[in-house]
This record gives sequence, C-alpha cells and structure tokens, in this order.
Amino acid sequence: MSKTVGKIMDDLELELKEDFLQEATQLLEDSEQAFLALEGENENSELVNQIFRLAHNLKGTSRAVGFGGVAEFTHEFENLILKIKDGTLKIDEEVVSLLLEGNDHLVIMIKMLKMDMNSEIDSTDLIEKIQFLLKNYQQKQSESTETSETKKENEENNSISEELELNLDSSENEEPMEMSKSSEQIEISSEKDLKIFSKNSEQSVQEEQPKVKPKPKDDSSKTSATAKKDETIRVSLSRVEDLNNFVGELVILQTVLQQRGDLLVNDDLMLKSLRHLGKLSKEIQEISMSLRMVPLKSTMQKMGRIVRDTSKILNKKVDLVLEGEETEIDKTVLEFLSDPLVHIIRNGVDHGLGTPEERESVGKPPQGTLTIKAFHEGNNLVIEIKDDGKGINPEIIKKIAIEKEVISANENLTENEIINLIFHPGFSTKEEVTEVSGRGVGMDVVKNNIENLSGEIIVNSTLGEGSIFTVRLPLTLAIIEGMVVDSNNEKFIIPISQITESLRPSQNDIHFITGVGECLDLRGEVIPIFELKQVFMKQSTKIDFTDKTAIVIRNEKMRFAVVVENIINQQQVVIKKLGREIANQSGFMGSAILGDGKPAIIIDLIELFGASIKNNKNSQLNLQENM
Amino acid sequence: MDMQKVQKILTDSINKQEVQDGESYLEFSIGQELYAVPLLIVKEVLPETELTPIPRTPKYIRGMMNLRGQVITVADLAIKLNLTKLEDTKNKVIMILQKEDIQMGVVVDIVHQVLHLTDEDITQSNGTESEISMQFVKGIHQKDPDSEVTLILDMIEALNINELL
Repeated sequence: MSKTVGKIMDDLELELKEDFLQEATQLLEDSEQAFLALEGENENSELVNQIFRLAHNLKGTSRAVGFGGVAEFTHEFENLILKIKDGTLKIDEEVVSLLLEGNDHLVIMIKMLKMDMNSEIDSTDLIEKIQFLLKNYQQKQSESTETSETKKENEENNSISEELELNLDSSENEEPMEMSKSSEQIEISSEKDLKIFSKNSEQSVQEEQPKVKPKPKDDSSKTSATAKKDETIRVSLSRVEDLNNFVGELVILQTVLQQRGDLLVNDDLMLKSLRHLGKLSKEIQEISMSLRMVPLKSTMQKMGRIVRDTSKILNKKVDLVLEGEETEIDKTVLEFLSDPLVHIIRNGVDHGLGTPEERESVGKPPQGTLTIKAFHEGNNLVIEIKDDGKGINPEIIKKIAIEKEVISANENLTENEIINLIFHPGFSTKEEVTEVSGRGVGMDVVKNNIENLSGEIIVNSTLGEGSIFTVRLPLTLAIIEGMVVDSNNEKFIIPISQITESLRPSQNDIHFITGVGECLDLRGEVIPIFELKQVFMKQSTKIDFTDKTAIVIRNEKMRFAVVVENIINQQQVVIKKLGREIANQSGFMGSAILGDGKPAIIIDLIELFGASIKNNKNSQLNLQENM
Repeated sequence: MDMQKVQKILTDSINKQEVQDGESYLEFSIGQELYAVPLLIVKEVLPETELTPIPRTPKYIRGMMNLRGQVITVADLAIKLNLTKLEDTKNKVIMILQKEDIQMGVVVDIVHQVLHLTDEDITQSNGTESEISMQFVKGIHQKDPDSEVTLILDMIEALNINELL
C-alpha cells in the first residue's frame, strides 16, 4: 500500500516538475518581452508590477516543486525587481541589461532542467552582480532614503523568510527527491538562506546522503541536446499503438505489391517506385516503433531515492553512480522494470554493502559505491547493478542450498552456478527478516519478473570485491524474433529465445519409456518429446517422425523437444495482443500478423508443455536424473 | 452477401436516425430466424474472410482475423446459439462488435436492415417459441401480428463474454 502511495508521489512530483518547466518557459518569454518594453518607458508601474508578479510566481513555484537552484536565483532576481517597483532603483540601460541577463540565465536553467531534472547551474556570478548593483545604488541613495528603505527591506526580509520556511516545511513532508541538491544549495545560498536551511541539514545528516553523480559523459550529451532544442509532446500510448498497427499493415501491403510487381510489372519506373516505397515504409515503421522508446533516466533517478532511503535505515554510506541514463527502452518494458530493479538495489545495499565499520575493517573506504549502468547490446538493453561490497560467498550459499534441499550435497557445481542459486525459488540467505529486503519475496520473484519480460538476470560475484547483477532485456516487447513453424497445416510462431536447437530426428533416436512416453535421445541425453499437433488436438497417437522437425527447448527447470511438421522461416514479428476472450488460454503469448497478412498464434512452448511435464512425476524424476 | 448492400443499409440508417426516437438495431438472420443487436455495438460489417483457427478454444470460436493490423477473434453465432442443424451458406458476413474494450467478430448469414425501435416496439420474451435458449434474448420485436419475429440478442450473454473474462 505505502509502496503505491510512494509511487504516486513520485509520479506526481515528476508531473509537477514537468508542468512547472512548461509554465516557466512561457513565463520567461513573457518577462523578456516585459523587460524589453521597460527600456523604452521609465515610469510604467503597470509593467513593473507585471514583471514582479512573474518573478514572484517563478520563485514560489520553483521552490515548491523542488528546484532549489531556480528558486535561489529568482529570489535574488526578485529583490532586484522589488527595488525597481519601490522606485529606489531607477530604470536605465544598465539595469535592463542586467534584467535581461538574468532572464537569459533563467531560460538556460529551465532548458537544462528540461533535459535533466537534476542539473545544476552556478548562479553565483550573476547573483553577485545583482548584489553589487543593489549595493552601489543603496550607497548612492543612502542619505536620502536610508531610514525608510532599511525599514522596508527588513519587512521584506521577514516575509521572505516566512515564505521560505513554509516551503521548506512542505518539502520536508514530501521528502524531496534531490536531497543532495538541497545540500548543494547550502553552499551557494546567501547567509539568510543558510540559516534557514541549516535546520534542514541537521535533520538529514549530510554525509549520509548518497550523491548522485552523473558521469561526465552526460555533460556532452547535455550540450549537444541544448543545440538541438528538441521539444516534446505527450501522446497517448494507444495512439502510438494504432499508428504501429497501421504502419504494420502498410509494410505488409508493400511486400505484397513488391512481390506482385517483381512478377508482373515490366515498367522500370514502377519497379523503382515500389522499391522506394518499400524503403520508405520500413523507415516509417522504424520511426513509429521508436516512438514507444523512452529513456531510462526517470527510473534510474528513482533508484537514487531508494538507495538514500535504504542506506539511511541501515546506517550505511552509499554513493550512487548512474551511467547511461539516456539509454532508451520500450515504455511497456520500463513499467515492469522498476520493481525488480528496486529489489536488486535494496538487496545490494542490504546484503552487498557492509556498514562503514565493517568496510573500514577490511581496508575499504567507509562509503560504499553502487553503480547502475545501462547500455544497449545488440537488440538488448543491459542494466548492470554493481556494488563494491562483500561479494557473495559460494560456501554459504552452498550450505544453505543443501539445507533447503535446493541441491543435493554431492552435486558438482561451479562457483558461478552456486552463486546463481540465489534466484532459486524459496531460496533466501537472510537469517533475520530485515525491514529493507525481508518482505517475503526473494530473488526468485525478481528473476520471474525479468523472465516475464523475456529477459534474463545473472549475478557474478567475487568474494571481498563485490557483486554485479546483470539484467538483460529485449529492447521492446512489441517485437520478437520468431520461428514460423508448420503444424497440421497451420502456421505458428515460436519465440527464438525459447529454442536451443532444432533437428530432424530419426526413428532410431526415439525411445518409449514407460510412464514418460516417447523420448528423444539427444546425443546421449534422453528428453521427453511431444508433438505440437497432438497437444492442440487433444489426442495421443504415436508420433510419426518421418520428415518432421524437432525443436529443443531447455531451461534450468525442464528440457524437452517438440515435433512440428516443418520450419518455414525465421523473422521478426510484431506482437499483437490476443482478444480478451482467448487471452486466458495458457500457452499463447499473443499473435502476430505474418507476411501474407494472416494472423498466427505465438506459442509459449514452456507454458504449453510445462504443465504436462510437471504433472508427470516420472518424467520429472527422469529429468532430475539427467540434470 | 453483397457488401454494397450492407453499406447502403448502414448509411441509410444514419440519414434516418435524426428523426427517429428510441434505439437503432441491426437486424440480421441466421438460418430462417431474424435477430437484432443494438447498432451502437456494431463497429463494422465485413465479408467473411479466411480465418486462422485458434487451437484449444471452444468450437464456436472460429478463429482470428487481421482487421487493419489488429488481431480479432471471430465467433460463429450459429454454433454458439446451438443452431447446428443449419446448412452452411456461402457469402456470410462478419459483424465486428465492440463493447467497451472488448472487440469481437461474429459470423452471421445476412444483414437485413436497421430497425428503429422504441420501448413499446419491444416485448418481453415469455411464451415465444424459438430454437435458441431464451437466456440470450433480451426482447422480441414483431411489427404486426402476421409478420416475422425478430429476437433482440444480448450479445454479452450470448458470447459468454463475462464468463470469458
């Protein structure tokens, strides 16, 4: 329950920030116009009031949504405008230039924030410039207006302090995402702010806060993005899906035309145009598919919060390093990625990294480092979560695994195999249930979640040096590499990721084992063999293996072979949801439209046959023996 | 059946709709009997195409089709309503029905016309003799005592949609 609330808060926070940035862009455009107008007329109280409202608005909202840097600067900027409003500062060219300079500075700030919510820009120079100008003016006018002015200023200061404190309270309640940022604010704040903020830093001891350090790589991407000025619009996912559907159709139609054209058309221009059309439609398809891709940034930054909270509870010091935040992934994958990642990271902070004392006793810096690194590798997204902690001790894992009967005592496993037992269902090394990762779900749930996304997770660990969890995910769930097979004159698609090999078995390789049924002798290894046709037709006759193809499926839980008539081809297919009427059918992953425009079922062989293998105790025993 | 005729039935109804009260229903037949469903749930009517069979589904699920890039399950209403004695006719049509986020195709023989019916035009289904189970029938329409009876179907019930979810 509280988890969902937390998520809603994060989403809300993000949305507020996004809204603010949109609004601020507009406000700054308005204020620029106003500043320019100001230069012409010296006495226009209406205009000055408008400018003051704009600046005040910007300051208030930026503080409220947690953009301390912007609030900090606009506060100073507002002071300057206040003097103009008072009439204590006469509008001249110098003042207007300074106002415009401030405006430009804010525009840059907002732009940077649009690209990276955590970006910080140093405003010290400009703030000093403003303060310098104000001081000069004050000195010049001190004789005439000293008494009334200081009074006024005091009043103003009081009201500002109150406001700041109010804002501060609210930001404490919502636990600002950028704790590290507010600590940085302290450094650049004026004295007045420092006083107020010190209350904040007392509460959240500064050293304990993990610092989110974007890699220098980020800087280059930032500058290039500034040059591009890429604006974004929000589009509903269903519209993107509609577009994908139509573009998919377009590509199919184009293929049909192309095939026909090659056969029937003798017109060079026609053929050339058809080929051009083909190229264009492929390109459109690529673009329309890429619309679903979103950067990992927000999810990775959310992890900063998780690390902060977790390390605080456990009294650990953790530095979080994020790499490759710009890496993109399908939105639907991203949605399901967050929970497993949170779990791995909590686990890493809880079990992986030691307390400062423990770390110092083995000669490591008290501050642990957790690195989350994302990158593309082929058609996969890879996320590495690395800690420099204790590492996983294979001896302990082995002991527990034997205790819990996950493995038998005499099993011969490599260290790496042993370490990866932590993903085994029901395996949990935690001796006592901790507040952090002891929630009744183990790493097997993480593995399941990742596998549901057609991904995989492995762990590598060196004792004393730390562990690396590697999550490998398909870039999109919308497209898979599929093998189109023929069974009983119908086409079916099998995800390549499930297939280890395919072969043409001879009748000699088939043995009948009582209690198991027909089995395939695969180079000395005996595995159950089924026929796809029979599962669908719910009948069991002896399989005729003449001229048939067997597909071998293998995972750590089971291995078996499935007989189909023929393998037609291997292609990328766009996964379409099945209607809700049949979506509950087990064994179906979805459907896809093949090159001839007809839909075909995508079969999940593991789900389809997994049940029959598990139901058959004998075959399971048989499998165990073979493992 | 001729798709141009289907097109005409549907466009005519749009022109008429403004003057009529009550609700519009699309009348179609399976075998000899007349049926109707609210026009609101009929998204479109297509000529029957080749369908990809879906294994391990009830017999009335005829298969799936590609409707402009969307995969849609198609049910055979005759089988679903247990009208099994019928001969297989040619040139059937597929009505694409949509209710909220459920989309499904239904194979029927012929689409006849759009009826504009008020509550008075529809009577309750007690006492009528029909080949199909009365649980699927929401009401009955009979223009005058001599004319044929049209059964107004509850498609959600008939297609077992709630059960399937």
